[in-house]
Amino acid sequence: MALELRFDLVDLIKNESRAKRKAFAPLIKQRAIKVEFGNRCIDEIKRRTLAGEDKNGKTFKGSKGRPARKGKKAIKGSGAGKYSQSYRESLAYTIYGKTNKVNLKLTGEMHAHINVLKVDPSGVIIGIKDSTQEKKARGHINGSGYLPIRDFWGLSKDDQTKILKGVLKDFNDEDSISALTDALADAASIVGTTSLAGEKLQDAS
Amino acid sequence: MATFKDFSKAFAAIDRDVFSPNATKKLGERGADILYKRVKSGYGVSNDKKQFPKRDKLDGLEDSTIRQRRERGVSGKFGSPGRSNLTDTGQLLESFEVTGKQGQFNIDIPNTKRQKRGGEKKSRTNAEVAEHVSDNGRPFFALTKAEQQILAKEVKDTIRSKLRGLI
Repeated sequence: MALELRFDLVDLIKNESRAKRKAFAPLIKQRAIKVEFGNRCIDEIKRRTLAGEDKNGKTFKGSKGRPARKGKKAIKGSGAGKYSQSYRESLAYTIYGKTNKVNLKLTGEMHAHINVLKVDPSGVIIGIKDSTQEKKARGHINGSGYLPIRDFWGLSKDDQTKILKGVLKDFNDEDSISALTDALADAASIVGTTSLAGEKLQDAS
Repeated sequence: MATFKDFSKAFAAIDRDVFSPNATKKLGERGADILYKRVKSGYGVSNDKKQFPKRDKLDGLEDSTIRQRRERGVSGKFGSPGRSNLTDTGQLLESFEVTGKQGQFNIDIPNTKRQKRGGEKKSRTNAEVAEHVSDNGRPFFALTKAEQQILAKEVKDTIRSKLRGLI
């Protein structure tokens, strides 16, 4: 099952004044507004995670370390927000040019797989469908083996409200171009190909 | 309210920053970098003829190959005698060429002659070497579905940012 996170837009405006609620109510029913809100929530989760903070705004935990076992040396734990010595010495760490700040990003695949999955009558659901990336994300959220819990999966009510107000401000226009925004973003695709020179020559002959 | 002029500007910006040959070349270079890092980390793909292959660990090296590499040395970046990451002299993975067209990019391994390795009788081209390793159980020259998703997301985010200026 996909990893999901639901945001309730109706709940977010319930503490607003009656006049504002009345003005916002028809807007937050629009699909395009929900989708844009979901996308901006994803942007914020990614921004915060890359800055090294979990969903509560705290620095990600460092490595827990590992006791010695079956001829393998013990691995020392690291300070908050830092990777373990053994990871820092790994080939992947060097190749991907990582710095010693935990930000849950190596290849970028997990971050790229967070999408708006669906909208419902009062909210929007973001999530990760791909099973490999979902497992990766759950490993961070729940911790796994010697990996500490690094829960990046969430957004505070304050942040959600701020984002919703930003979206409503941008979309509060009778001639909203929201549908266009949505359609264009969905339609965006670039075709990439790889080819060997040999194949090209064969094709040409 | 956005005017027709605003829309035209936004579409021109999208064309320039997403679909133009310059923009697609940049995106292709990003794709080539993703491919390079994956292979250097020891991973190829399940099938390089498929549109959406999966990431697959490259087959390990045979003992005799490791011995031979140890004796003559491995000079490529991130290479070592026992590591299977298509790196010996490093020429193959450093040879990627990227071209951008309108709405499309191409990553190419050119038919350039390689410097002969110690003990090699005939010099092969990079494209020939790529074909050889692919045909012999180490397909690598394709972007996986997850890697394509990274690029698609970047395109989508750029389009969103251009349209956001309109509203």
